[in-house]
Amino acid sequence: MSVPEILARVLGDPAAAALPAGTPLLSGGLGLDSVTVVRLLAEVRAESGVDVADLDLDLDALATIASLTAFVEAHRGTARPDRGLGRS
Amino acid sequence: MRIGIVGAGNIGGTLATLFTRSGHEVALANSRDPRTLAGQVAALGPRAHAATAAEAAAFGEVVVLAIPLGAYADLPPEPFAGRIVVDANNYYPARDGRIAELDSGALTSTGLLARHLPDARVTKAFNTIHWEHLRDLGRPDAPAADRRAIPIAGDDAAAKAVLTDLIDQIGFTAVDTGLLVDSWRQQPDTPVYGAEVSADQATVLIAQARR
Ligand SMILES: NC(=O)c1ccc[n+]([C@@H]2O[C@H](COP(=O)([O-])OP(=O)(O)OC[C@H]3O[C@@H](n4cnc5c(N)ncnc54)[C@H](OP(=O)(O)O)[C@@H]3O)[C@@H](O)[C@H]2O)c1
Repeated sequence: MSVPEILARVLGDPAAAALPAGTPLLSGGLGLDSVTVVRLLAEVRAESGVDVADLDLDLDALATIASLTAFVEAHRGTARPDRGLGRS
Repeated sequence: MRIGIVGAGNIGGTLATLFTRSGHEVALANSRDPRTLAGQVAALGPRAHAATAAEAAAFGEVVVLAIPLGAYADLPPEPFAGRIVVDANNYYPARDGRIAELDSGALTSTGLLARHLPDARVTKAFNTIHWEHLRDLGRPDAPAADRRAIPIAGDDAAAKAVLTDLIDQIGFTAVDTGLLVDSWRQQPDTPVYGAEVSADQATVLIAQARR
């Protein structure tokens, strides 16, 4: 499942999967609150094995949908070798 | 709005100043005879008066607790019934004594308070900000993005909305950490604790908390 799809599921809004990739996740964009961010990162971790909060200490990854997607793609398979194995 | 403040020290005294300045009526209490607060309430002006803890709770639509956490069991639960309680306290074992349920993580410190005050609408706020920053960094005229964030938690959404508005009036911006069970994310030793950050930064720090 891609980051936009995960986002749509967390928000309970299928249309969110088609938002422009440059949409900010926090203020000036979707305005996600911390509760939603916690859920989003938990879902991302469950789906991709990438623990964004653990890997990105500044959480620059959370700037936009695109930055989160890029971060997850860059770390997919490296963060959890056990999960990455099935993918290659 | 009528606000009771139990604890007249660094945090309670600072909030008394900020809330009276914003036009609210404040009843201020410490652990002793209210007469010991005569000088402090005189300095706060006509919107403030001294009270016992029970009187401050009965007076306030909102009641802030800013006492050493270990003293929570001294509070009489009855006058807190129906009140929006704002817990500013932190658990410091060296000061408060060891509390097994907090050490194990079975309860958050605000959850412990909520159990003691079963009929109150308990929230958590002001626990992550040093009192001098609370005193000095409020910017009521600044846009929300330029203000320092104050994390809040609680199970009662309407109570959190009242709290969010009060925080806005004194020049900060509230960031929702979640329910009381989530409030460990803003307890001591978490990323957002003590952090001088904007709402967006606080949001990511809260999401980053680990236990
Ligand atoms: N200092 C900070 O920057 C800061 C920041 C965030 C959160 N906090 C937390 O906020 C709480 C208060 O901290 P503080 O620095 O404001 O403490 P403080 O300056 O020592 O003041 C404590 C106040 O609580 C009162 N008090 C003590 N026991 C009481 C009782 N049983 N009933 C009613 N009032 C009682 C004291 O009254 P008496 O004078 O009569 O003893 C005093 O007015 C603590 O839990 C602290 O961890 C502090």
